[in-house]
Amino acid sequence: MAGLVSAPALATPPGGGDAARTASVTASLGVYPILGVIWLSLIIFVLYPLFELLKLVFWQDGVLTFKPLMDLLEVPYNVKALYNSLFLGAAVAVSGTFLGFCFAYFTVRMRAPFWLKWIIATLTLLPLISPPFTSAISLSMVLGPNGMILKMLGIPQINLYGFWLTWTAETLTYFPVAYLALSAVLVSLDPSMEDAALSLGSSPWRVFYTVTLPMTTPGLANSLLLLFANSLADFATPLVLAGTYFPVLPTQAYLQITGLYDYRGGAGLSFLLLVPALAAYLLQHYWVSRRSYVTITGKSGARSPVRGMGAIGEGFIFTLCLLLSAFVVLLYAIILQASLVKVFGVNHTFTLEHFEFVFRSGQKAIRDTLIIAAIVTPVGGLMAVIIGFITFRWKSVANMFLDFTCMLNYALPGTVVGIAYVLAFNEEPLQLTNGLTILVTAYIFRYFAAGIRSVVASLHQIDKNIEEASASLGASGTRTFFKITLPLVIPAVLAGMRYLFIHSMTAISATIFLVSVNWTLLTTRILEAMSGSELARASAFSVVLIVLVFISSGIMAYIVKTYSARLAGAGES
Amino acid sequence: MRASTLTRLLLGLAVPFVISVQAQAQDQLNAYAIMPEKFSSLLVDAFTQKTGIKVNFVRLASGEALAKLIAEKNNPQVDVLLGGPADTYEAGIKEGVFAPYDGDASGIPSQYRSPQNLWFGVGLNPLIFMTNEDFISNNKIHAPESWQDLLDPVYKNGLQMADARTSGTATERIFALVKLYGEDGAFDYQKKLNANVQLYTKSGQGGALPIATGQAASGIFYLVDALDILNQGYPVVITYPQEGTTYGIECVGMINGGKNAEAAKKFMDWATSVDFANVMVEKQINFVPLHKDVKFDNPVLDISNVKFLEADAAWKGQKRKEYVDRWVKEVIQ
Amino acid sequence: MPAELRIENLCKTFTKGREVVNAVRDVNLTVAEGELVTFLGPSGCGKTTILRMVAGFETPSGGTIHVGDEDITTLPVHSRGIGFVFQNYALFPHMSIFENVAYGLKARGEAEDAIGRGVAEALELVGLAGVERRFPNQLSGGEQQRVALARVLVLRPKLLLMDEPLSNLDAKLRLHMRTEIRRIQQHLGITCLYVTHDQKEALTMSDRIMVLSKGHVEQIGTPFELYAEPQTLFVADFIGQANVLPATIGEPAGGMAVTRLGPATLSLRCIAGSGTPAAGPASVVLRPENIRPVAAGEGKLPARVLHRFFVGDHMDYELTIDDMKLPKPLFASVPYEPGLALFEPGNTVGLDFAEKAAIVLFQTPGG
Repeated sequence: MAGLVSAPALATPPGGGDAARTASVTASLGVYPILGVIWLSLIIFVLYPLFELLKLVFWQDGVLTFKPLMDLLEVPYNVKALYNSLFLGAAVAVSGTFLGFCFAYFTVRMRAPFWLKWIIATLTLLPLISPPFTSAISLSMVLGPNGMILKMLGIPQINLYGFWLTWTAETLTYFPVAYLALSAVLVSLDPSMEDAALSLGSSPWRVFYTVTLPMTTPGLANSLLLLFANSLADFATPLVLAGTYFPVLPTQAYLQITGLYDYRGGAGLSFLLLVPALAAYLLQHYWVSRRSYVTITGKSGARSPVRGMGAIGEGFIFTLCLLLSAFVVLLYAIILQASLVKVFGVNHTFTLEHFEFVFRSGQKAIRDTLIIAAIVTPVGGLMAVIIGFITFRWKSVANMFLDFTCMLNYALPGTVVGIAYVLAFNEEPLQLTNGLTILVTAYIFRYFAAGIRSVVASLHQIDKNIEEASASLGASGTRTFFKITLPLVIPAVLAGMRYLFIHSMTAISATIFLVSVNWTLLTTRILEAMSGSELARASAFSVVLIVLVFISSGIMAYIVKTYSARLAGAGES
Repeated sequence: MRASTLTRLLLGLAVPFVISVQAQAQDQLNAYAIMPEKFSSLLVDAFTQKTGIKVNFVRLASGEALAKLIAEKNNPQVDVLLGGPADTYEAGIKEGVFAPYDGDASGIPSQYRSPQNLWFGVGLNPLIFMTNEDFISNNKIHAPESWQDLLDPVYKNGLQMADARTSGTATERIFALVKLYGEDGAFDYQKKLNANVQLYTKSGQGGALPIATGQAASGIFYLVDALDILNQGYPVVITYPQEGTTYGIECVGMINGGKNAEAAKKFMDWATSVDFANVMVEKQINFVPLHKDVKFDNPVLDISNVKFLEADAAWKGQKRKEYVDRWVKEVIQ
Repeated sequence: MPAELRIENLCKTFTKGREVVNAVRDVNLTVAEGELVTFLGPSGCGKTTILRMVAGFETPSGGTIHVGDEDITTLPVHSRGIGFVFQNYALFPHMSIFENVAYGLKARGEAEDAIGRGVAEALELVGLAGVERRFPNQLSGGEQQRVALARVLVLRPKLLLMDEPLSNLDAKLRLHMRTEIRRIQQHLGITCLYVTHDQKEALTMSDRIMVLSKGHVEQIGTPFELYAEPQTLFVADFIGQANVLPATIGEPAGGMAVTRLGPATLSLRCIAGSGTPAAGPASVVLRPENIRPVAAGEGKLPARVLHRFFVGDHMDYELTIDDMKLPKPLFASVPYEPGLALFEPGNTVGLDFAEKAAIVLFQTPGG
């Protein structure tokens, strides 16, 4: 689930290596003790668990060995899982990026009533803020055997469990990631490029594929890699929809541990997952995101009225977006209806009893989830600011390594992180299982990376003269940081915090191993209700969670927007 | 703000993470529950009402629960395990996870408890077939009455049942088949059955809802899960295989080294008493109660006409891993 | 093939929220074959909007555009055969210089060797032969602008439109590119519209200039006409510098009017078309280089020195006339010559000018 708000990761502008401006600002911040604390926490919560995981896989009876890994690879089923994971990842990357591009093109480039664009843009957010299996569950009712749509098409007996349903569900879940990334790219593409191409006599369609599309290529590559990584890490969707015909690694690792009590095997399988995930991430982070044709110089000419790719292409995109939006609406309508009727499919009498149950029996889960999110969000946000500031202003090999370490848990599939945490924090001296700490740290160190990225991106855009002006007016480094730099990066921090918040409310892959009698989560309650055949309660839990996240992240988005508007206003006057 | 202030701020934020924050209050009990959440919460509430002891529990699949208990055995996080089939307990005994309860449990017949007092049966849970009513009438067939009925092509792509790696229901299914057809015969049967299976679900109840809603036709379940679906009002039929079936013994047990030993003992006192059985009957937690003094008149729980195959829990515990491995290697690949 | 451009009654309105903005109002212009006409005006005057309507990037709200005999008002951009050069060059960053310049030829489906020849010729023309393999980000700003020009010229467009093409270049390069663009335009005899807000650029490059303000045409004329005979106070002030003095005129006759200017009464030249020719309040426009301070009591008007600036080749004075309500102080620019008389700030002086240098506009400042 390393995905949602990929925009910050995307927006890293090229270049900007200013080793020169390090010294004064950073050194006077008293940076060493802070660095010490950060490194200590990173060693404990990132490196040590990973080390434990690798130790379990490669260290047996006091010697380094590849035997456990080789043994796993001798089981054809595991090899199949590895192959399936990669294949599924590639398929989801392609389909999700395609859909994301169509939606982005529709909302950014095409003429349509404002309200329609708003509705469609909002709908694409739903999968992002939903707990992982919501769409999987309703999808099985729509496209599963005897599902609504299959019945309508007259092919009720077709069995799409396995690749097809998993692929469909993951595409629906992750295309909004591509949508966000690509609409940011499309918005900032200089329109005069397309104008130029048109006036050189190129037809709209030719302009689209010779200019618009190639200029979006880095964005597309970025989106492909993001989606690949997301799919690779997804554990909940295959758990519900893949069945046994289509084993994938995260689910296999989970089953290996929970079913066969085989931590070594589970760790080994998750190691297999780690390699391609890390590769995809590194490729995205250090290569693709640096290659961008996006102009942020403000040099571009007059913004022209949007120009399309020709009637056929636009008609296709319009139809696709409408159909898909209707499909998303259908999926969520099913969840909503299931939560509001006695027995979905049998007795459609209206009732609130499922919500009563959620607020009675699920009270603890709601409270725990909110407490965790309420701790994770500010702490992660603060750490993101400080780390982002240090790594941006103080380029050194050590800080590059710091940056990389911060990204590790983010780049790794959640299952891997969860297993590593269980292995690392199960015994003294760091006995953290069953506590709040393990959940909070799992979320912070997994998702603060997005905050760091967005802080760094916004630091790139702050004129260093502003800070120098503050310093020349006699402010200390610390004062400059808190009075000048911090307020300017706050929108970025808030965006990062929103991302942290959404994920600490909805993520499950890492934390499914970490819940305990003391601290439980809404997402695990949903999974529990589902596996207990309680569709109505699972749906009611999902609805409550979606509403909670929608409202709170909406508020955070609003704050970001008004705050940014104020800054922008100050800049103009 | 000075530099050191910032450092202190950071330290202040970091410290609470490193220090674990669990407080152990006096009158409370921690539990893993393998019984479905809705049943567990009813039972636990009844216990709290009676004793005033607050219970924190988290529901886990049997495999998950056992994995956690084994992983935590040097530092147990819970005091009791509520529910789950006896063979899960037997597998745990090998790992030294359970502690003997030496109170008075004479209400539980001796064949339904561990000889070393490490687990106590509270209910029987026969393995049954559950089939969608509409499917039966649409295809003009009768509900399956034999294991062989499920091999009928009419069920092609129509069966949902549990994955042996995570579900006790699934291993129970394998045990029953081994008792009926012998080991090789059992796996041959399952390979054939595989052709009709639409989906193997993570948990034992996983397939129940799809059958209830008509996405799937039929499946093999524990009685308690099937009755739960029936009671929700879905159109399903429950039938027993005429060749014979097995049952799981739903158990409770005490965890070795639990931090609230006193409370755990009180829980075991209550769980092995007729009170517990009465709560089950009253709340429609439809295991067949085992306590010798409990009275119930629900006809669905009358199993006097059902043919059962002998399969003792120790044998199940011993064979589980072997059969699961074989199932993965031979059936689902 | 260069062609004549005819713009008739062109209008453009935008809606900004609830507000309706008249960005372009009733513009009429005919550009002859091979002529370069500059649109000049402050930002927001509508000059770029007109250009973009001619290019087809914007749809007019009213009026027509003809190139030669063809009505192109609603023709799609890519069918117009009009070249457009952008302020930010708009080179395709993912294509080499060759591919950039060849882009339009390929769209036309020209043969490979024709494309190769065309590109080489076009780059030769802009003085950039040999950069074909490079990419836009490897070129300097000036070079990029030449490539942008070559990319358009290679298509031999009927019409060349340029939108502030030099504004991203540094001053020296800008100067050089002005002559360069003018040379190429004249060499090819191409009809050209050129948008700028830089009056020097407009004056040096254009055959004619169209001055715009707030969406309407203030005046169309040769650079000399605009300077010598501005028809509006706006043009007078926008092209070069102008001193505007309030005056009262009698009935104008034969292009002259008796003008009361403070204490003086003079017979001055009137500018036709600068408003309604009628007796009453009007304005007198004087260029700074046409007025000079002289000893008190001499000259046509009494004045007082406010400031004095020595600029090297000339001496600038800021002056005021105490009895007149001037919209702003007068500005006099006196060429340096040996023995030039100097006046100190605070000195009372006379203000002298030749009557033929003063013109009357039938407009009053602010009115």
